[in-house]
Amino acid sequence: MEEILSKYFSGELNRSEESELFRQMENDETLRDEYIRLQNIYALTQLLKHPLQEADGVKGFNSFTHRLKVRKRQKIFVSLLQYAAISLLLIASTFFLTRALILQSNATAEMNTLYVPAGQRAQLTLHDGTQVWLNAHSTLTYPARFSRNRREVSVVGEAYFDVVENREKPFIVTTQQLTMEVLGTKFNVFSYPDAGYTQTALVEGSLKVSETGKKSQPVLLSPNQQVTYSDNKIRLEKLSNPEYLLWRDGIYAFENERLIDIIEKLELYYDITIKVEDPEIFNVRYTGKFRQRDGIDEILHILQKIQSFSIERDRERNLIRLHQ
Amino acid sequence: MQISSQHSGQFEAIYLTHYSRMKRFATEYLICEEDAENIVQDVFLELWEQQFVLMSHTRLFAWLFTTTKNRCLDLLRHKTVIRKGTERIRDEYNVELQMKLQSLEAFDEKIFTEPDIESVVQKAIETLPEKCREIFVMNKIEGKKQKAIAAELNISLHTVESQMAIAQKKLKEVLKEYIPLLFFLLI
Repeated sequence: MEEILSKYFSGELNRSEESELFRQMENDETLRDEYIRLQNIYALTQLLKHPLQEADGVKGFNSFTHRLKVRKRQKIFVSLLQYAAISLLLIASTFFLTRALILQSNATAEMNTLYVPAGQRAQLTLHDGTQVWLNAHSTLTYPARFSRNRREVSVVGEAYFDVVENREKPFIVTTQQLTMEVLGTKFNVFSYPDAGYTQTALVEGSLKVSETGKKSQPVLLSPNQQVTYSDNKIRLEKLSNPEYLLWRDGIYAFENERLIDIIEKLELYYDITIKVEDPEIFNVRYTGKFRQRDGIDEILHILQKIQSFSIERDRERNLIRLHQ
Repeated sequence: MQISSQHSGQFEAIYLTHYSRMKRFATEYLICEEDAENIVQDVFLELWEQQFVLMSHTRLFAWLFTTTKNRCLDLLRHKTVIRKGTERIRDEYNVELQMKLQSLEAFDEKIFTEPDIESVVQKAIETLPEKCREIFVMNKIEGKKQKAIAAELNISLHTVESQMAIAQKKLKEVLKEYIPLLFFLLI
């Protein structure tokens, strides 16, 4: 027993001898005990210092330092991975946030529309701080957020703009006939489809006016000038009646205007049809102011006091007849 | 992982003093030398990372060998679990694995904390007659085959075998107090 175990622990048993030993061991407790004792004694003798161990140690140490380097690289790689993960998170969140904002701005690129009913007026401040007054029966279409390089709105009816200056973003107002481009200025736009003409008057700053959709030479306005477009012609002239702009405060001011023209404007402001049986009698010129809130009926009553005419009201057809 | 060069030098000295012994100890139980080397390198990696280099020699010695022992136990248990699935394929190998595991489980790790255990082993081997000691060291420590030893010392293989049997008997006697008897005393 001693000899075979001695040979075994010296590594001198061949495979079949080894198999035989372990088969024997399965049924021999004493042999198993002896094996364990000897095994542990041999293991204990391995604690012996030996001159050869130095060389073995150097070999091991080289491989150890290599492992250390690999491990360091792995650690760096893991921390790089962590950084990469964080970066990825930042990139992804930025991406989704930006996309959300873009989607949002796309959504807001859908135009807002403000319609002011007849007989009323409105004032609003746009995203860039520009103030807009809208006269009765007028529509302003504007983006909730302006695009990167221009501020574009469009007007049907009458509007007064006090544009906040921004040299990098021109402010562009489009009407059916005229397009106005400014950097920062105060001006009025009159563009009722039923009026037969489009007019823009400049109060402050400078204004570039061109025909909408045409590449014609733009007209440059100085303060207190106005441009009227009718019958495909652009007419530049002095601002006829600065008080006219009082509409913003709810005052309709007329200066030396024919009654027929006054009535025409009232039609636009109050969205009503006024039929004049005998236009001749309304050719007289008048100067005066009306309050918007007085309403069309009151205004006509006032006019009645100057010029005698009878008023026939057809509410169903939203029509007023004026006749001798 | 910042270790000063002084500590780094200390670490290398510790490594060179213990590596070979730890590997030989592990190989006794693991059969496969590669497994033993991996385990010992891992133990040193842990030592490096935990910066235990400032421990006293005795404590360090105990820590290194106890950690090695525990890792060998883990590996052996893991292997026996895996073996269960392929039980009947190489029965003898399975028994050997079981025996190695039982042996290591029986190995009292208190031995490692004995302050003079190195000199105990040293002295135990010095009790062997000179020729016997030479053959034992060549065979068990240097890992030479008995045939090669016989050729080198110009003696018969039979002499080598019998000297190894003598060494075994003697060492068993000298070191018996460190290796407790397990189930019953041999007559």
